[in-house]
Parts: sequence; structure tokens; C-alpha cells
Amino acid sequence: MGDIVEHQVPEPLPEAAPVPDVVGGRRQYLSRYVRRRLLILVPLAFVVTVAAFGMTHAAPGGPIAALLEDHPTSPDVIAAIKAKYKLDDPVSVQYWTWISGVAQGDFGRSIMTNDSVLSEITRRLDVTIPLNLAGIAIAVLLGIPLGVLAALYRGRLLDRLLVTVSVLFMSTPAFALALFALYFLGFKAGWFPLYGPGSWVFGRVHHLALPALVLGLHGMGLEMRLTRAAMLEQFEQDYIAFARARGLGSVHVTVRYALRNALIPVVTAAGLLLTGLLTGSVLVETVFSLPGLGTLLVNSVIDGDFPMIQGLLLFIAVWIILINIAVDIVYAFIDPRVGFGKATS
Amino acid sequence: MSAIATASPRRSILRRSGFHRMPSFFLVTSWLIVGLVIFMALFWRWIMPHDPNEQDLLNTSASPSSEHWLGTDQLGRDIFSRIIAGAPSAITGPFIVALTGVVLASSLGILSGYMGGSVDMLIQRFVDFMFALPGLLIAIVIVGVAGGGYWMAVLVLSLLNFAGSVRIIRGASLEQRALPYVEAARTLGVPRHRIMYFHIWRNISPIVFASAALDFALALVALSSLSYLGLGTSPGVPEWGRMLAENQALLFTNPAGVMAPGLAIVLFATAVTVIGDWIYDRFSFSGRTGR
Amino acid sequence: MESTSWGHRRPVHYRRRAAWLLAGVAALLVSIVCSGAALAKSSKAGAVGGTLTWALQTNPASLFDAYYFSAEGSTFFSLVQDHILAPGTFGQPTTGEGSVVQSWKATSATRYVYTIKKGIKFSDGSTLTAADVAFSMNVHRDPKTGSKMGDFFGNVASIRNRGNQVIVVLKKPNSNWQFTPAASPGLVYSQKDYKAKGANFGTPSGMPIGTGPYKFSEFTPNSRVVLVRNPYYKGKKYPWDRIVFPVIPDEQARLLALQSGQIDGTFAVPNNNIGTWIKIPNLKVGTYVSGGWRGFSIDVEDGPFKDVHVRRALAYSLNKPDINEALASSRGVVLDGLPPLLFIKGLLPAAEVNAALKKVNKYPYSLDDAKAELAKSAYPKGFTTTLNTPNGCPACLLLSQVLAQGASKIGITINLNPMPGPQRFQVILDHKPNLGIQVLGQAPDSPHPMQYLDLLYTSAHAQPGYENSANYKNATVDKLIAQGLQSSNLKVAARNALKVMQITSAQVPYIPVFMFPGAWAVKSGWEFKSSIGPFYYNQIWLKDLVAK
Repeated sequence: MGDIVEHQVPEPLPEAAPVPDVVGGRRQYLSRYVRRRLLILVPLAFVVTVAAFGMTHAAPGGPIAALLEDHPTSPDVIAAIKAKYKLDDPVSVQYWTWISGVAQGDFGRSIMTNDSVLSEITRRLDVTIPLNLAGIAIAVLLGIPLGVLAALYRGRLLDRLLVTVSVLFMSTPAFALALFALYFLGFKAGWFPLYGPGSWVFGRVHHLALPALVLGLHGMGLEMRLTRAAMLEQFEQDYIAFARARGLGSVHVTVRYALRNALIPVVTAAGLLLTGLLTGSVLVETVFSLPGLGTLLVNSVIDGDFPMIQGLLLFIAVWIILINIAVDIVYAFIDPRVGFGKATS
Repeated sequence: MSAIATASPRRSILRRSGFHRMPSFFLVTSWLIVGLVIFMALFWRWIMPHDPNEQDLLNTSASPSSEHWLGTDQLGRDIFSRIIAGAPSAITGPFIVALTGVVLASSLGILSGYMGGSVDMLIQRFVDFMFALPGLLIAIVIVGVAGGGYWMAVLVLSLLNFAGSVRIIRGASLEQRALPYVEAARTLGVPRHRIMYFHIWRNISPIVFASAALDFALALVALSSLSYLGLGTSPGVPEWGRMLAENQALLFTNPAGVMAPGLAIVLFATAVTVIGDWIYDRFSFSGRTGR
Repeated sequence: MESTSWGHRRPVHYRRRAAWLLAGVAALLVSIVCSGAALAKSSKAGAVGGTLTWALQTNPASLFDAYYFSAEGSTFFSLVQDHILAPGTFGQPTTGEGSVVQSWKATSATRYVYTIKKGIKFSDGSTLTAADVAFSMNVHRDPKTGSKMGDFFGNVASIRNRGNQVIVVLKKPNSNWQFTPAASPGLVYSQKDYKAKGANFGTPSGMPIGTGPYKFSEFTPNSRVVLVRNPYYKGKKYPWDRIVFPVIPDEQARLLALQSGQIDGTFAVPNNNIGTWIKIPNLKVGTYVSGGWRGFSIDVEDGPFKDVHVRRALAYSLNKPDINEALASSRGVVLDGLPPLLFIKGLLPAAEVNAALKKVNKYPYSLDDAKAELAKSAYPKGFTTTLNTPNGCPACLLLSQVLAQGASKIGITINLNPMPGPQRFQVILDHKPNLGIQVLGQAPDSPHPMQYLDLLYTSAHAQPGYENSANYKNATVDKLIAQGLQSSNLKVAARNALKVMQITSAQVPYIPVFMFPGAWAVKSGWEFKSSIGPFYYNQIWLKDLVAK
């Protein structure tokens, strides 16, 4: 889960400028900005699909071998399957067939399961979305308060303990954490079910609790570290000293002033976590046998299921872009200094 | 530039991480762990009790004993020796990723920070884009579809995981640019590339190494994750992530043998992170402008 | 060391005030854990009255076997759909329970007539007709289906229904055909149902109906398949109203779930890990004869492997009994040649088999013999080669590592190159870039003695699209195999198989290592009857399950 632990906060925007003083104007810029970012989606998605198509078709192996693996076969059988999935067409024709289908909302059918790619993906969102949301909720709800605590107790035993814990969780691979949790909490303690997504609401909550905890703890390390650092940064600022000098209560100062400003890097981290957890959930879903997007991706990659890989990559690309846009917007609401560019045209 | 853009948060995170205040035994332990792993990587041939590849098919999945301290795996190989023999691959791959990161991030980051203007803007857009890419996920897809194993994974991670460092280095270079020595060098007619890649680089190198240490730890975790999914090293090569996957089946009979490789990853990654933080705190004295 | 001014500014009571934060965090943690613990009690799976929970390892790609051809899929297909003929323990076709055929006979070497039982009903109440049976086979022959099982029907000229009979005409005589209606492609579907469901047939929105004791009630890909009783089934009633097949790909999760009673049993015991499973308390693990084999092919036309001494040296360097012990707790059977004798012993007198086996070259483990053979070759000092290992086949990985280790001791360096399984299989299908050594594992589709031999030794199969990955070509062997397949007398096939074993054992195009055991695992106290055999998955295997 390497990519989520970057301690970096994307800058707001290069053309970040002083905020226009009228609230209405700010809104206008915001919507213009969102529209502009959404427009980038189209060419980006195009690049992603071309890359995915080129790569999957250039690679050896592929769906025929995956379909027939270890079974007796003959050229006739292979020819029939190739014809069914139009695998003999030139790659450019295959791409055109696929992309024109996508334009009409038809993502094609999985070669492995013969089911519609779109329905496979949406079915798995039932698992991956709650899992990721719960994971991020745990990461944020534990990470931010613990980070604040660590900052308040800077240099003391509690701080040392918390910092150690955060580094440990960050350095533990998600699969190892998942395996240990499965063994100790799921099996030894018997608190959680050991496999599957569960059905209905309570079943789902119960089944996803442990994997979400694993994902959340993994992300918590980063959140905590970031919050702590941002809080300390804030405590050094003059306005905090000023606020305290005015006699404002310390909890009030912590929450109202310091935390609010410290939230900026933290929100970004949360956004990064949402894309990063996607990777983490590949590993966690594998260990917990959950039918989410992660296991779907791993399986389709292994099977060379072209239509499914393309559909998934497209979906993931859109997911990441949308999250980045959302983070930028949240940013703007927390930090009044961030603007969305002047209306240049 | 907004205020946030110039005050790079990652730097302050590193500085504020608090490890300089840790009791020294924590740092010492980290150094000991890293030293031990490097020692194992250099001398594994001579220090391990058994040949890590020597199979004993009649003594498979054995529990720990005085002969085999962590028991044996599914082919009767000594797990303890394999953990020692796993040290080189725990260092090589992450080291390459971190090194590529240093080279790419330094060149882009200093260029971006020093030049400013449209060069900066272009590089920053590129970095924003790279930053949003989930490196490990892409590595899974590429290694899974195109093959190539461990080295392909190292390549993909090297090319995808430097964006964070570019930002840090850019931030540091921005601060350096404003310092008198740069101005002095410029008036003396020192060429631009020499100012950037000699003077500035030398002054911000602790920051570069600190972020490289973090990249190293992250790459270690990422590569072992790939190995766990069967997408990393070749079968038979002692590698901690792969060992964890292979030995999983022994969880009931030999929990120590299963968890040891996992623990090795966690400890090594943690130790490297701690040392990275320490390097930053100890040597990064040049970036304290305006505070 | 740096010091900040913050430390001096902080008032002491500040920390105390902040303690509520800590309390909040603790409360959150506790509530998460408690909710888990509380719910765990309320949803204990497994032992609920009338439900059998049986774990699968692989996600069922489809409920239509044309798109999901695997033994694991057949374990639930066979409970929903009858076969045309029902396989006995060793695959012999029968008309008993699980078969829709009243009687059948071969009216000539190429013409088979099946008379369909009367009054069999699908789970929607409609009556099974001969047209349905003919359709169930023809659907695999139709290129538009793109069935994975097309190869079973390569020799079929036509399949028609007349009255309550189905007539199959072959292109040329082939005694292996008799087993096909009892094998995986013998599942009986409803033609009307197939047409109604169209492209969705086999997907969650188009679950096929059948005439077996159960019917599909739920299919959530990657999660589970659920069966309930078929109300129109007239045969024997099995104790369970409902059978849930959860998909648990992770071996540890499966093992933990079985041990804790969340599942009742599974056939997904990795056959490289049987020894570990046997040692674990609270569950019962048993093995059965699988008829499948594992070993290596060596391309007799590729580089150093052209030299027969090199191939023999490799054969000597493998310690087969120890491999059997390490991978299968010695529950498998070490092989000196193909096919496993299981498929021959029932057909010929023991004395005849033993006499024939004396003429088979064996390569007992001996590094000295291996070195001696290599010394006779053109590569006395050894060489370096690459072996592609398919990911996702742990047994293949282990076996390859053992081969590499043995070979390294006689000077041959084998580098293992991990590949996605399909990619590796594509190498075999393409017969390029070069085959070298390939690690193989195959399970039987029929008990015919020639089954593996036809696939692996026939010259016509040493080309792209086929699986003779040793590129072995021998006119005598071709003739023996063809004769064995064409003769309606299986004894001829068995005798010829022994002859092929003798001829090829000197040439070593393949190194069969062992017949791996199949294994099942159930809750402690449960058991499988000994009648479970290599084709259990095509039977209504519930009949062999003894539950308590």
C-alpha cells in the first residue's frame, strides 16, 4: 500500500490567488473550476483506455489460454472462442468496437464469466465502497484525535507511544496486518466472521468490520502523523499565541483555531487515502475473500480478461479524478486562501 | 504562490515527527536493525546456519528446534536461514526505487523550484498527475498482464513513486533560491546548472536523503505486497513477502515461522523510517528561513 | 537537538482538559470491537438446521458449464443437473441415480443410441425430452457458444433426437466416447430455458434449471452459490434443504472457517498441503484416488534436451517418493510412466500388468546415476535453462523448485520464471518461443487408458493448438494409441497403453512424478465413504457424505 503513505499535500493550485471578496463570485469560480476539471476527464479516460488496450493486447497469453487452461483442446475449439469474442479482428477495430460500446453505456461482456462488465463492477461496489468508507472513517476518526493528543503531549511518553504506533502501522504491509487480524481477532478471539461479505445490512456491517478495521488502522498511521505535525506547526504560529494571550480556553484554541487550520493537509491525506485504500483493499479483500473491486482486478489481470480490465481501469481512473476534484473543493471551504483561478476568458 | 505552496508540509512533518526526542535507544535500535540487515545482505553466505535452498523433503513444515530455530518450510528448507538470505532482495529493490527517486526528484524538484515560471508550472502539473496515480495498483496490473516479475515491479515503482519527493525538494529549493549564497553565485557568473545541481543540491541533500529513506521503506512494503500476490520474485528466491505467502499454511503448527518474515518487513521498514526522520532532524539546518 | 518555544507556553491544565479526546477514542475502539463480538454470536453459520455449507476455492465464472469447466464447478452442477449417464466411482457410465438415460447401446462402432427415462421433470415443472438431451450436447458443438468443452465433441458427426431416443454418430470409431455422456459435458439443460435466458444463461440473472435433486436459488459471483431442493425431483432425498457454497479463495481463511465451524466441509484442500491440514485439530481430512498426475514435459526437439541422456539425467535427479511425502504426506502414488495404473489395473489381470511393468525403464533417485547419464551426453558439465512456472499453482511451484534443486546438484542450472498461469499455457498451446521443460498437472476427464497418452504422445498433437509439449513423435506409439482408441475393447487400449509406457520410458519425453491424491476436509465427526473416487464431482457426492 505504498502509494498512500506519501506525506505530501498537493498544492492547492498554481494560479492560486487571493480570494475574491464576494461570496457569490467565489461560487462562480468554483463551478467553473469543477467544470474545467470534469472536462479533463474525457481525454484522460481516453488515454487510460488506449494504454490499457495496448498493454493487454501486446501481452502474451490472454483469455483463450485462461479459458482453456489445463483442459484438452484443439485448434477448432480455439477458433470458435476467438470468433465469439472477435479476438481475430485487428486491435484497432477491437478498440473501436469497444469504445463505441462504452459511449452507449455498454462496456462489453467479461470473457471469463460471460456476464456484463458493468453489472460485475456495480455488484462489487456494494463491498468496496462501504469497505473504503468505513476504512477512511476509522482512519480519520482515530487518526485525527490521536494526532491532536500526540501534539498536545509532545515529547512525553504518550506522544512517543502514539508516534511509534503510527510508524508501525504505516510500515506494516496491509496483507500482513490483515493476516494477523484474521488469525487473532477472527479466529482466536472468534469475534468476527472469517470470510465473505455477508448479506443484508447487519451481516454486511459485521463481515466488513474486521477488514475495514485493518484498512483503517493502516491509514490511521498516516492521518495521525500528519495531524500531529500540522498541529505542532499551528501551535508555533503567532495567532495561537495571540488567541491564548487573549485568554481563550485551551480546548477552544485547539479545536477552533489550531485544528481547523491543521485540517488542510489532513483532508488532502484523506483524499489520498481514498485512492490509496483502493490498493490496500486489493490486498485486504484477497486475504478476507471479499468480492470487491480489488479481487476482481487481480483475477481479471491473472486471467487476461481484457474487457474487464479495461472497464476496471476506466472506472478507477474516473474514481481517482473525482476524488481529487472533491478534495480540492473541500480544501477551498476549509482554507479561505485557496481560490479557483480568476475568470480569464 | 500561496503560503501553503512554499511551506512544504512534508518537511515539517518530518521535522515534527518527534523522533529526535525519542530516547536514544529507539534510534539506536533502528540503526542496529538496519545495520543487521545490511550485514546479513553482505555476509549471508557465511553467517546462515543452513543453505537456504537446501531442501529436506522428509522434514518439511517442522516446528522450531535447536537445529532449525524457526522450523522448516514446505520443502524442508530452514526458515531462519531463508530470512537471512532474504536480506539482499529486501535491500536491492527498495534501494533502486529510492535511488531512482533521488535522481528523478532532485533533477525535477530543483529545476522546478529554482527556475519557477512556466517550467515550474509544467513540472508541477506533471507531478500532480503522477501523484494521483496509485503506483502499487499499476504495478499489479502491469506485472500481472505483461509479466517481468521482480525487476518489472521495481521499474514500475521507480517510475511512479517519485512525485512526493519532487514536491519536497522543490519546496526546499525555493527556500534556497532566496538565500544570499545563491545570489552571490549568480553575480559571480556561476552557470545555472552548477548552482542548481551543485550548490543547492549540496545544501538540501539531508532533505533528499530523508525522503529517500521514506521512499525506501514504502518500496519495501510495496514490493513485498507484490510478492505476496505472487507477482514479485521468482519462486524459490528467499524473499520476505513471498515467504509470508508460502508459509501461511504453517500458521497452526509453526506461528513463529510464519510471522517472522512479516516481522522482518515491519521492523526493517520502521527502522528505515525512523532513521530518515532522524537524518532530517539532525542535518537539516539549512532550510530554516523565515522562522 | 532542536527545542521549540511551544513547550514553555503550554499550561499544565491543558493536558488534563484534552483527556476527553483520549476517552472518546477509547470509547470508539471499544464500541467497534463490542459490536463485532455481539454480532458474531447472532450469526453463527454452518450448523443451522437443514443447511450444508460447503466451501469453494475458486469463484464460479458461470453457472453454465460451457463457460466454467472445472471439477469444483461440477461439484454443484452435479447436484442441480443430471448427467446423461451417471459415472460410477471410477467413471464407468451407469444409468442409475443422476442419469436421465433408461438404457443405451452402441449399434455400431460409430453409432450410439440413448433411450431417455420417462417422467423426469425440470425444477420449473416442465418435462425433460430427448430434444433437451440432444440440445445439451449440441450446444457445446455450436461454434457460436464458444464452449470450453468443444474438444469432447471433435469426433462427433451428428447428434439427433428421435422419439425418446438420442442418436450420436461419430466420425470414426473411438471407445473414449462412451465416457463422455457421464463426464462434465454430459450435464442436461432445458432447451426452452436456454432460449429464454439468451446471453444471460449462466449469469446471476439467468441461472439454468436442471433435473437434479437441487436447484439454483442464488448466485452472487465471488461470494456464493446457494441451492435449494428441486420440488419436482423424485429420487432419493438428501438431508439438507439448502446447500450454500461460499467462495473462500484464501487457504488460511478456509481452514480457519472450517475449524471454527463456519463451514461444514470442502473439497478445496490444496493437494500440496494435505500434510499440514491433516495435523490440524478439530477437522477431519481424508484423501481419495484422483487419477490426476503431476510432472514435467521435456521438449525432445529443444537444445540440450534433444539429448536423451540429458532427459534421463533429469529423471534420475528427482526423488519421487520424497516429493510424494513432502507434497502429499505419501498419500499419492509415485509414477514410473503414464497413464497411472489405476486406469489399467481394472481391465487386465494383475500378472499381465506386472509382467509388462518389468519392461518399463524406471529412474529411481540417484545422483550418481544422474551424473553418469549426463557424462554420456553432449553436456557433461551441464548447462543453464529456464522453466516457466505458472502462478496460482502452488504445487507446480514446489515441484519446479525440487527439480531445480536436484538438477543443480548435477550441474544443470534451472532458472524459474514465474508467469501468470494463462500466459504459461499459451506457451504450450503455441509451442513457442521454446518449450524446454514444462511443469504439468492434469486431472482425468474419463477413465479411458488412452486419455493422457492421446493428449501427450500423439505426433499430430505436437503442433500449435495441442498439448504434446514434449514434441514427441513416434510412429509406433501413434499406431498403438490409435488402435487403442478405435477398438471397442478397452482391454486392447490397456495393453497398448502398457506398450506405449515401455517405449516412451526409454525416451523420457515426460517425467511423471506422482499421481496426486484428492482430498476432502469436513468437520470433526463427519466422514466420507470410501466409495468417493476420481470422478466424485460428476456424481451426487452427497450420497457419500456421512454427517452427524
